[in-house]
Amino acid sequence: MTALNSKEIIQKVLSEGRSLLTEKESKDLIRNAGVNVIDTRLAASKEEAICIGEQLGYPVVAKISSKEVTHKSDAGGVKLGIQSSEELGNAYDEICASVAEKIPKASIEGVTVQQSARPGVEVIVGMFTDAQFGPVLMFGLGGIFVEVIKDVSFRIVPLAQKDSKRMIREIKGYPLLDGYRGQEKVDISILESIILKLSNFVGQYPEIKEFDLNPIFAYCDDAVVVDARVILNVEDIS
Amino acid sequence: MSNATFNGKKAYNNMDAVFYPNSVAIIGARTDSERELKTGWVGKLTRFDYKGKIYPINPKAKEILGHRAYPTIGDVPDPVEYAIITVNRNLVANAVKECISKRVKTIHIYTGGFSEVGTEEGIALEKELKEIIENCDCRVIGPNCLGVYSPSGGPSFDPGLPKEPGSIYSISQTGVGSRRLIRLAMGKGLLFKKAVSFGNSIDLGANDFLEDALQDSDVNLVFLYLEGISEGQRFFNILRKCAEQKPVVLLKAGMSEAGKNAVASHTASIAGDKQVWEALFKQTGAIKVQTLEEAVEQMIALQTIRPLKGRGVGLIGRGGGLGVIATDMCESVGLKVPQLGKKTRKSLEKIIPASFGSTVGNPVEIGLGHTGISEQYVDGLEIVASDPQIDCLISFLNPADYIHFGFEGWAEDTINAMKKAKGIINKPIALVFLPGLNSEVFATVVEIQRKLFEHGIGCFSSMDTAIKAIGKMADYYEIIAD
Repeated sequence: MTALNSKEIIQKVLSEGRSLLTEKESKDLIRNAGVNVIDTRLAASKEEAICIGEQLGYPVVAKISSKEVTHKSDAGGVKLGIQSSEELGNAYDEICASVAEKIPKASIEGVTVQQSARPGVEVIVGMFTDAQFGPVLMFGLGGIFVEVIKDVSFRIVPLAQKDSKRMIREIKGYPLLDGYRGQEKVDISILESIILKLSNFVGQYPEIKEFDLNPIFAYCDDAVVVDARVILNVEDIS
Repeated sequence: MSNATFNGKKAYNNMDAVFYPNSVAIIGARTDSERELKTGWVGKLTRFDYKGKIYPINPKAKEILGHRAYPTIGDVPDPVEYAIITVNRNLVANAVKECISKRVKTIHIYTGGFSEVGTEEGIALEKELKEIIENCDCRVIGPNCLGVYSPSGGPSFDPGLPKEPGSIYSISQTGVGSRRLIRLAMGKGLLFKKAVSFGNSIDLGANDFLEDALQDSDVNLVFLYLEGISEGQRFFNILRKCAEQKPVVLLKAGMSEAGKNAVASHTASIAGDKQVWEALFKQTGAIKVQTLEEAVEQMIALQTIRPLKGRGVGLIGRGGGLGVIATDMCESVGLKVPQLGKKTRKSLEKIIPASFGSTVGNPVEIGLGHTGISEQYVDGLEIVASDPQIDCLISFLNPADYIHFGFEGWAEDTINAMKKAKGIINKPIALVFLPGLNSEVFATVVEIQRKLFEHGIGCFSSMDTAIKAIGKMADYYEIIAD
């Protein structure tokens, strides 16, 4: 199966009357923007899951794939740190059973299997559509930093190169990216380039209303999107 | 066909008929001469010495304030470039239609009572106006606005404003942001090339005037007062382009609560109007102010102080305590008060006698007795400015002392010293000339401040306003140099 291009993904979602993309669709769309996304594949059966697990190499993460499930963890739809095919097979069954029990009306497409990303500094890049100015990008440290402290910065699309530089350095937690107390120093230029690619991408696709790329794991030599959630503008269907 | 269109019209790249019309008709001029002279537009234009033709329109009058009146604008025998509509809101639509038939180039609807009052009737009347002007060639300012102040040959919404044009362009949604601002600014000697208050902007709005400000080569500074903005992306792009070439001082009043419902992402739940406007300031380099008074001080700084190349401030003045206060203020706006180099301190020691109250650190207290101003004062400024760590000088003087001790000629000394300093020092200089609280001292000092401004010297009434304004200038030049 060849991957769908961005236009096709957007059209498919809109034609089904949805605004929220599944995790797999979200990640495919963001990958099309030229951003490095963790390899995430959909398994429609237990056997398929095990096959993907062997291809990706353990450990892996398994998550429910269902258009009706928005909070996967709450529904028991996420298993982390799966070490073997046997564990993955069990995880598949447990995830499906738990979701079926907690959200009976959910139609289950299967389970996504993705590589476990090596730990890095967690950051978020988000986007929303402002009523006056259109698309706006947000950058911040991920996890509790964005949830509790709201240590984030914003820029209106299209961003100039200096905007991506400044919005990263503007957050209070910037020293954590810059190798605080001997920790690994993150390659900031990769984050800048991700932000600029996304600015360009949302400029091309006005159908995109909001997204959270949370977390992105940032490293000294790389950065990878580990989870993504994209929302389309349903009113804009033409 | 031009592809740059707005409202189906050609992009407005020539505002001549808005700011320099050769004739103005006033629809709704009053027959009561005394009232018309005091508050009417015929009176305003006459008192402002408007040089073009004035045509009062009123079916009941033959002549108003010496100008022949006509029953309708259609009865005026010659072409009319600019019409001001001041009639009751229910008669505005008809007046606009008559202006369009007369091929008036600019229609200014002074009358209010439309969408701004929020009633169904007001909104409906405005919608009707929009429909009427949709396919016409004329451009419309308003409704519900003061209109234009154009001292180089155009009309003025206030006859008491300076007749001499300057280099500032003021664009304001409301009357407060234009008339009151200009009145405050003129007291300090600031002059304007163009000012407009555009109200509900059914046609021309902030974006069109900002584009004009960008293109007008006589304009070197823009003031913008906004409550909301339409066509946000267009505004963002023009503002970014404009601020790159000339500073834009932006007072954004009010925050919108719109668009906060039905958000599905974490990002949208954190974001708000405030953050987006903050981003706009950071991206465009527009200089944020929160009051009209602050806007005036900021404009004084921008009109008189050279661009800053860094954040190092040399503080020079009388009163050690004031220097310490100023140091804290500088730090709080992101300016630095660096220690002076060895060479600088040595040179200062030579001119400053090691006597009571003199220090050669930064802040520098030049011990010149109570006169404050002398030959050594300018030498001191020059020495501090020569330090490579120093990007800007802020000097503070307390003229209340000179008056109190009965010194003579200090005003001339100050002006001459600052003129000389400005001539020989190529780094930015600002003077804080404290007016004190005594009414007599205050009047004298304000007068000298004005004179200093006329000589191009940045002069401020408080440490606070000076340092804030200079801090924002440092931010601005850093953003546009990036």
